[in-house]
Amino acid sequence: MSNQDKNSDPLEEFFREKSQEYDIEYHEEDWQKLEARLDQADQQRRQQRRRWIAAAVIAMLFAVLAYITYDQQLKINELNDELSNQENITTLPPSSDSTDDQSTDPTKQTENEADLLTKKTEQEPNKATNDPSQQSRKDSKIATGQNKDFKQNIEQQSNSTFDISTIEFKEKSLAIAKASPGFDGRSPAISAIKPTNFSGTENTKVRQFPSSPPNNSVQLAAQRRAPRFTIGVLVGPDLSTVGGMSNFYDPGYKFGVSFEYNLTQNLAISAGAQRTMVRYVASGSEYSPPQGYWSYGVVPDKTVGECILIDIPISLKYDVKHFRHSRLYATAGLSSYIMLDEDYKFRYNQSNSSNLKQRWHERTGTTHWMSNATLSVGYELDLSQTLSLRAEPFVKLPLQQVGWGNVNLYSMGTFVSINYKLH
Amino acid sequence: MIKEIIKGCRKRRRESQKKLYQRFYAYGMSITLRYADSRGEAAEILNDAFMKVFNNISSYDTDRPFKPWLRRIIVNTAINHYHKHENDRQQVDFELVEHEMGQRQDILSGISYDEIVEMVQQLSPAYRTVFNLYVIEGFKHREIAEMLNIAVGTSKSNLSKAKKNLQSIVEKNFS
Repeated sequence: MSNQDKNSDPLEEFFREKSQEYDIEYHEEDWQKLEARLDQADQQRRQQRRRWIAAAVIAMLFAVLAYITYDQQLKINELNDELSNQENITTLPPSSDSTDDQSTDPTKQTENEADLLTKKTEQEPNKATNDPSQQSRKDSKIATGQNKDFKQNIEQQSNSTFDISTIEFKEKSLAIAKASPGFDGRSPAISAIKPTNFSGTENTKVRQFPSSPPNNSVQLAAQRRAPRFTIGVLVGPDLSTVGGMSNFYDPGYKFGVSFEYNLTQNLAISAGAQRTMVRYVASGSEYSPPQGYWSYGVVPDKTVGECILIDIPISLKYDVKHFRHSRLYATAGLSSYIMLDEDYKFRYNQSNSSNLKQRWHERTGTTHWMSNATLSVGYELDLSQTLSLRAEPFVKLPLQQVGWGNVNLYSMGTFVSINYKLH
Repeated sequence: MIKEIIKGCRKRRRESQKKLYQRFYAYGMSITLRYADSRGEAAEILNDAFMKVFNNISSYDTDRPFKPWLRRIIVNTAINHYHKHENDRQQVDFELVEHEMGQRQDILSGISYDEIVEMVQQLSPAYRTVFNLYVIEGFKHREIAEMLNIAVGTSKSNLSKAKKNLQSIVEKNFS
């Protein structure tokens, strides 16, 4: 800005001076207009913040899932290495000074075998010497003194038809499997080893077993740990809209319980109840209250709905792909809605709308059976043998109109659930 | 006091926002009235300006006086408003009158603030905006030309025509 005092134009001087002599009355209605805009801006800011929080929570959940998966994978790798070392030691050719004894005395052989296994689990894998025969002898000597009780047990069972070495292997592998869910896939391969005859020929056969489990071992493991019933607690955001899969409003939420029954290894039927807060915006044409409700027939330009309802889904769940300790699945089903509380606010573009309907709020309790189709895909991660964590994006499509406003309600979101398997 | 109000505005407290609005309402309107066609439009510009003020209050340096900061925002909002409605308006030029206002001080002294505003509002938006920016706000023609996306010559010409039109209005109404 420049100082124009030097300008001597009397007209300019006059207007400059007069412009300072204002005496303008305050108008409250101007503030009210501004306040309405500020309210709207605040609401948008809150919505944006909620969206960011929801996004952050989802991102955090995925990060936790990724970390758990990575951590489990590391443990599995470690256990694989350990088990490979055990297999190598178990199938080594017997040393010269013990060959005769082992080949002629099966009891001694099983003792040594048991000693070896017992000792091996106590040792770090990387401490194994490069000379397996020396290590084997050393282990036998040390372990013989330390595991007398165990050997006595084995001796007691030596006359039975059980294969001691196999039992021991199974025990070991189960112990490992307990430490690592999903590791069971390894055990069938281990139990297939036949240590009763440790002649060179047999040992060669043993070495022929692949280091990784056969493909069906994962399925066998899944079968073994598949309990019939699963109960779950779930929570998640709900984004709803009417008329189509767009124009989403403020996110709502869902939380509830689910019950699941396994029909087969991969197929399950599930049901549940979810308390749901639905928020949406409907245009005038998408919202249809009972006929004659609108004042003077003036339909609002926008309806903001906020409803609390109970969502009762019944669905079929199919495990699409099994991993060692997790699985991918898809579900399809139908949802019934029980409307608990319906609150609708009506907005008009025209300025003089104070004499028109502004709000409708009631606890209705109406039920809409099979009103929506539900589709979802999910990922389930075993946290232990009984607990699992699921992340399940879903979409709900309208089959019939719901609520007092008879709207076609579309919803989408992501469930996050903790599930407990009943054995 | 003003610092407390601004502090409240930064926390988006509605009562603080209202206090600030009330306190500077007359001042703000005294600016926007000169840029607008009517009181309603002036209030609209003022509210737009206050929305900017509340949204950007965190960037205001409380060690500096508030009024110039507010004034700058209001003037900028008025200019934006001018650009937004540039194509909607029809330019109405008054017939140029050759009288010299310097000889009519006696007439001018009897004119109130409201009448001044009314006269300015009778100018076409292009003339009015240049007149306000040059005479009242004190901008140079080069600055005005940049703000309004016009040539410096156009700014000078618009100012000259605005003054002549004002003289004409004064002659017509107060002589």
